[in-house]
Amino acid sequence: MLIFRKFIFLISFLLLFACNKQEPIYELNQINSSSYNANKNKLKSTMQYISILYANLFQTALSSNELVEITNCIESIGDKEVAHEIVLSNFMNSQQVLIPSDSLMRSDLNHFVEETYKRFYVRDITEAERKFFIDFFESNPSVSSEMVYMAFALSNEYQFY
Amino acid sequence: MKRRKFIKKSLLGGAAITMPFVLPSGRLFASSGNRMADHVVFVAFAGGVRQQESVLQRYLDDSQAYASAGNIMYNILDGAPPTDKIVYGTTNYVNGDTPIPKMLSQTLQQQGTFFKEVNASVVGHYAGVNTLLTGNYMFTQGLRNKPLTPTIFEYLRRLTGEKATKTWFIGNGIGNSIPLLDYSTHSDYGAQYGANFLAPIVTFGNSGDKHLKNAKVYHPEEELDPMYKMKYFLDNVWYSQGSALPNIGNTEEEKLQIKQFVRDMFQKKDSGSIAFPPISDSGDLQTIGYACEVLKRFKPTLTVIYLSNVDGCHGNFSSYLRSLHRADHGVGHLWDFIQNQVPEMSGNTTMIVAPEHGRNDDPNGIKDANAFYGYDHSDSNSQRIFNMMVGPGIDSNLFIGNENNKVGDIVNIAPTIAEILGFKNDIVNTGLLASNQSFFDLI
Repeated sequence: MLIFRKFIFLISFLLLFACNKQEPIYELNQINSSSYNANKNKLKSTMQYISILYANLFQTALSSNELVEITNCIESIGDKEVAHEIVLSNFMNSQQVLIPSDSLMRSDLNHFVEETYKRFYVRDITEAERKFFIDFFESNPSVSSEMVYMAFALSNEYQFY
Repeated sequence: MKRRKFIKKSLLGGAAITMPFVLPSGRLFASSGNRMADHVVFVAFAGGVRQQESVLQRYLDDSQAYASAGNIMYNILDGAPPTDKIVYGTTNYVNGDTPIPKMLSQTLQQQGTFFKEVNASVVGHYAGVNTLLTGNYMFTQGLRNKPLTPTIFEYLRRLTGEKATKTWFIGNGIGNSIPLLDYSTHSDYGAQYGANFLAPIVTFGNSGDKHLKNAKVYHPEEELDPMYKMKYFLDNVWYSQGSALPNIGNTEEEKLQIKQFVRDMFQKKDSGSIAFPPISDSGDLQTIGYACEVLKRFKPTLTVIYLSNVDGCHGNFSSYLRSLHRADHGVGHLWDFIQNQVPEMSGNTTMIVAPEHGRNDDPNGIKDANAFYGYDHSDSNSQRIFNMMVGPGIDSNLFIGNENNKVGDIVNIAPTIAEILGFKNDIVNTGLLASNQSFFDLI
């Protein structure tokens, strides 16, 4: 009788746990993503803007003499958008400026625009932004990488950090 | 006409008359006053000018205890020049020995109204120019801060709807925080009503030659248009998340005009055809030359030109005299240029000339190469300035006040400009001015 009871207990125990449904475990791969505006809330000073822009375009630091000269030039013109555009287009006239070629840009528009966002804004592109640019590039075949770089360098987000 | 129809038409007509009209500037009504002139050029004869060497024409007699008096500002003021110990001109044999020939056949004093003794309560350059432009004393305002109350540029643009390229502030450099005076931080005004600032001797100087002159010229439709479309998209995305940049509100067309102006000035500089005064051997005179170019190109409603070379008086009195003489030469050239080279402004422009403050009664002990003592600006003598006005509707050959009778204050200049340009009532109604009186109210 005792053996029978033990047997019943064992069967009950096994039945109890045998019916226990195993919960699925979902796992996610971690990815690194910068926040939407990368928490930029401080306006760059003229010196910061110029030195960062120069390093971005020429991949080398601007000399302190030139930094002061360019800053003075920008200070001497009240409309900063106009001043920045003139200084930037002066940069673009240099042989040393490092910009992807138009053929490289057109060979992989997705990659180009992703890299441009990282290069200028230090953040990832959103899908809405990607769609705008891909559509824009496809409908405007004459848009060059230089024009894209000008637009990013003159944009308001690039003025903040 | 049937009664019902009459009442309906009357009501519609009345509504049309009384309904406010919203201007692009955000104001409801067009300015209410009549303009005395369509253009005002205000020369801030700044840097600190002593009454003794300007209005009182005492030359070395007062400042250096040397018996030589006379007028070294003979385009602005009546009076014979000094004859002894001439140091303020150009150099022939010794420094400054040759006075610059007179520009105007009739002095501004003969052509206009001259307030000989005016009060200026602040005696710092930035605070003084700040007061000239805002009509308010900024007793608590330090350097490197924008004005707290609106500038005359902002009043003009907000209250009359003027475009950005119709208001210019031309400085002789970027020191002393001068570029900050193009607009204030006032919550109802600010950048969108600001002036176009330009410091031409920097923009078109050596640094500009190196970093601005070779700017690429993009095709407006084929290159700039798509570039701006991308920029606008980026800015629109940013506005939902980030801060807005200060923008003085030049339209795309106005920006193109300014860029074209910059390009043209480099070319004119290379060809030697900038409208400089006959003598242009100082920063102030070069600034006047480029200011003439701005006037010719943009025909601004309001232009403020800031001169300050006389500030060398702290340590070099001879240089101060030269700068004073040159500033007078520059003002003479400017008035002559407006009357003879800018037909749209000729006979339709009022010029105002006033320092931002004076200089001390007693010297500071620093001697220059001529053994002349320098003068700082800190005592009550520094609170003495003058005000000259010339243009349509302004009495000619009229003097007001004298050494013993101060009439007018530096804060009367902003309402004076407003009165000339027909919006004095509007500016007074803002309640933001220290004084509601213009110089015309004091005549």
